[in-house]
Amino acid sequence: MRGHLTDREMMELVGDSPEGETLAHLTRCAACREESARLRAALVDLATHAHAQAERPDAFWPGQRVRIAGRLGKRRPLAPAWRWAWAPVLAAAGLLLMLWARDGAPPTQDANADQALLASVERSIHVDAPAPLRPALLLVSEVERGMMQSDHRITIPKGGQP
Amino acid sequence: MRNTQENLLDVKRASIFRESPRTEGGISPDAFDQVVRAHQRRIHRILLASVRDTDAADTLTQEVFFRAFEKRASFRGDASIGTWLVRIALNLARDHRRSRRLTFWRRLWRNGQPGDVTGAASRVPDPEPSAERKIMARERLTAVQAVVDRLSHRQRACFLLRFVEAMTVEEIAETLQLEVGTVKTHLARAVGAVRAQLAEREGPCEDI
Repeated sequence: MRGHLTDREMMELVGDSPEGETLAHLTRCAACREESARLRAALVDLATHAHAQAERPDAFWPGQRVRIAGRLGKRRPLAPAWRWAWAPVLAAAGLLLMLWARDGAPPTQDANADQALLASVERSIHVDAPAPLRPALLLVSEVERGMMQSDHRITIPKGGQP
Repeated sequence: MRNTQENLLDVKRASIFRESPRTEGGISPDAFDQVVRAHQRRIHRILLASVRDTDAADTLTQEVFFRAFEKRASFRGDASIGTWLVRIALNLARDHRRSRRLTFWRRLWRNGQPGDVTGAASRVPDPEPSAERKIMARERLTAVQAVVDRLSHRQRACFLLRFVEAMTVEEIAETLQLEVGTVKTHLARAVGAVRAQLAEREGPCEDI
């Protein structure tokens, strides 16, 4: 003798897919018959109520479609052919900006910056040089100065006055 | 059972979704309107049964179709559009319930008064005074709705799809992307909860 129907058996029973053993039990057990009838009635009420609650006037559904279409219209994406059109435009703009930045800057600033960098490197070399090498550095700097002066020497034409 | 013509229509609508991302200019409003027209009532009904709030069900129905449109590229066509839309709807219903629960706790925290927790009684229309049987049925309905409200998201989804939408266990498994056995387990637990509620209200059924 088995007990009453389990939840799974009752679920299959009210869902219209009971097994033979469940049906056989139902013929013998009045309590399960009564309970399954009560459960079925409750579920039918629930479904009927859900369907009745979901009923709307006929005008509701087209109105809802209009609202959906309205929302989609606002967010409609660009056509695929034009979706990536901004990419080459942006790349071209970036290239133009780079060219303008390179050509438009005053060259004297770059030259001044280079000269200042060279001077600072020279200063650091001189400061960091060990004491025994300082006379040699002095000699090198004198030679450099002499070369620079020779570069700026005024050339006197033959037979002319200085 | 669906007939062949409906199946063909669904296949046609599915092709709209699958092909629309590659279509010049995207999916046409008319084509998408066909999809909405075919499914809006069912989606609305499932949402209303799940959230039990008419305004929310309306808003969420719009949201389902909006999201479906936005995510149409992810629709692979291995399930029907109906199944896919129900899946979106149930996810939205779950999120809505979560946010509603948060709102409830926030309100409780601020006011110190919970108010109407289930709200079920107020949403059921007033019964006819003379019909005692109707009153009892309505009270039982309210009690069952309260039980359904307390189920987990998956149990509730399985329960509503089975007993409100009359879907088969296999269809529910496909919609929720679960095993058939898992769906049966959720259904059995949900039915067990309803059984317990009915037994508590109306007493256990006696052997004769």
